[in-house]
Amino acid sequence: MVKGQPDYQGVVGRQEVTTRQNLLFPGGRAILIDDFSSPAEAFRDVIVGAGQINLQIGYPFTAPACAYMLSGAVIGNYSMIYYETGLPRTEQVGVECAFAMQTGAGTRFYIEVRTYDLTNLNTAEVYFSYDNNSWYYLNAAGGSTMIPNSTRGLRVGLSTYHRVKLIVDFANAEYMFLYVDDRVYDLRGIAVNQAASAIFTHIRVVYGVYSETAVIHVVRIDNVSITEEEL
Amino acid sequence: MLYSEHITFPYGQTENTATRLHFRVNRGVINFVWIIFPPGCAGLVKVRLYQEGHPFLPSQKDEFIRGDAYTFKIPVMYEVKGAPEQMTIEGWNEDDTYDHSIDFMFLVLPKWVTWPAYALSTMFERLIALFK
Repeated sequence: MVKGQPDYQGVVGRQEVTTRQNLLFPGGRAILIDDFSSPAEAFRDVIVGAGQINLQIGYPFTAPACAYMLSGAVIGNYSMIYYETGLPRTEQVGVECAFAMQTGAGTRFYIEVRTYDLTNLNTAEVYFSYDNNSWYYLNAAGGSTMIPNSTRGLRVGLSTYHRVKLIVDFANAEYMFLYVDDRVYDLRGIAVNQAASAIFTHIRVVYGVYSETAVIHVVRIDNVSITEEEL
Repeated sequence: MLYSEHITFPYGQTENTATRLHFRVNRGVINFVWIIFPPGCAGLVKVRLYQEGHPFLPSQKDEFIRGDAYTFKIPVMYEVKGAPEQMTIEGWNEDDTYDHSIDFMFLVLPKWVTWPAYALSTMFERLIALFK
């Protein structure tokens, strides 16, 4: 499934497709949004292990529902949802969402964006590790590096939503910025991970929960936006 | 003279099933080309233009132009000297859910209107050629 939005037909006035959701970072031009109100057109998912993904109406960031993801109780299990859409003209992609995570050792919430540029598969990923209360990014060598100064008292709980946005510059295969609530982490100049394998020429945006310990881990996400940025 | 084409590309296309539209441009200088992508395309509609079967915009073979909520305004200054020339718009929509409509506009002006920008440069080129 590769999906854009309906045209704003016949209007040259360059308006947003849809009213933007209640997010902290209004920059960029929304090219795909999902507030989990229309499951028929929503995400695709992958579940590795005995996890599950469903829509939950009890604790959404904004009504009517959020995505509720549980990973299996085995180290390395994960549950993720993903979206595919076109690479924007500027090749700078912003991905944002609101997320809330369970208080539990070994919970990892991650956001990944990848695209194939006909030479390399470019992958940018950031994740929040409950154990260290810190953000990490996927480095060029395929390992994880803690984002400097990102260790902070992020209040964690399944009813406490945080807003996060990652901007990646695929034209230069570099990270740009990570916004978390009121913080901005400048990642410019950091190369994304590149591998030789090919999958597609669109962008794939992944939101997921990963088990670092052998228990079930839970994350809620809501108000997903994918934007074209021009920074 | 302004040529305008409004083309709807159905969802689910690939490069092999691209939509093509042919039209003729009369004598004059193609001054500007506008390609208008409405919001919603998400970079999934890819278009290119041919002039008499040769890549025109973009210049490279097998490349394309894509966009979202963006108008490409491209100065061209290409002169159609004699008989009308055939332009071809080719595009495909990789969206699997929505159709998208793209507007193309070509501003073709008489050569004397584009004077001196175009004609003067041609004159200089010929003068320089004399001394080569």
